[in-house]
Amino acid sequence: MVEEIDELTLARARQGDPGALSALVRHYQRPVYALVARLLVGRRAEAFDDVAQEAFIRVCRGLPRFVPEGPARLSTWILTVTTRTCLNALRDGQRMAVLAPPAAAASAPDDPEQTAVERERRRRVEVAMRALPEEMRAVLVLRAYHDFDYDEIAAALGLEIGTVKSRLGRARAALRAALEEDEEHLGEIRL
Amino acid sequence: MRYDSEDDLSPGERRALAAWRAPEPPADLAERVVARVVAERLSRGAARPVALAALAAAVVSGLFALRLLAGAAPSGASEARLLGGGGDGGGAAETSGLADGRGG
Repeated sequence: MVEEIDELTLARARQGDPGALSALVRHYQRPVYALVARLLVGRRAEAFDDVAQEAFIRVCRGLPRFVPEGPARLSTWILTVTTRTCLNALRDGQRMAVLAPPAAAASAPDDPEQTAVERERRRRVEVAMRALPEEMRAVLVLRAYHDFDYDEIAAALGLEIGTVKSRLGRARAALRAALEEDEEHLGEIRL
Repeated sequence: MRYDSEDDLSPGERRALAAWRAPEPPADLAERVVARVVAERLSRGAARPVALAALAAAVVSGLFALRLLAGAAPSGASEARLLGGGGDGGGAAETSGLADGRGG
């Protein structure tokens, strides 16, 4: 759960104060960038930078319309704007060259065993996430990493709650399948 | 991570998801965003007088065009002349010539 920025800074940012806008970006940049990187998995880091920047510019433009007393938390609103910016960017496909999937973990002689296992597990998750359709990935990422509930995911993606649940179920099934294979492979690494 | 009890992931699956760490944002992200926002605001401010001038020019030229059209618009008499009806008599030579030619 992201701690929200203080009210005074938010009020100044809503009035367009550059210092307050800068403070707001710094405050939320880690979850925003993490969300961008996970939704754009397999793309270049330059694409993450461009899309994160675009998301924050939309946030800055939309801030005067954000209602602090409303039902949505500021972090939820910012991450919703970010999600939509990512999905638009993926649909537009601009500067979205897809990189090769990560290679299997190389066993470096000075690596502790746990590091190799963790690296391989991370790789498997990344490969499984890349294989998911974009909106299914978005549902899982918002749920697993950003604490969105079903209502918030439905609002962010413009879906019915039933659709959110079914997509989440399918995403989890795909992830489980990838990780079952993972466990077999990790057993080989441990041996 | 937060899951509903009925479709909870196993501890191993949670551990795997937690292992997928995201990269850190670039150090200058805030500066880049604020620079773009300020530049947009400045360009909007600069564009406003230009837009007003363009609007005023469009209104003036529109009025001018209306006046021209009003001035060039055929009066009732000239309409009649064009239709060959004689009207005020000014077009008699033209119409009579045609009539003569047809009538023999």
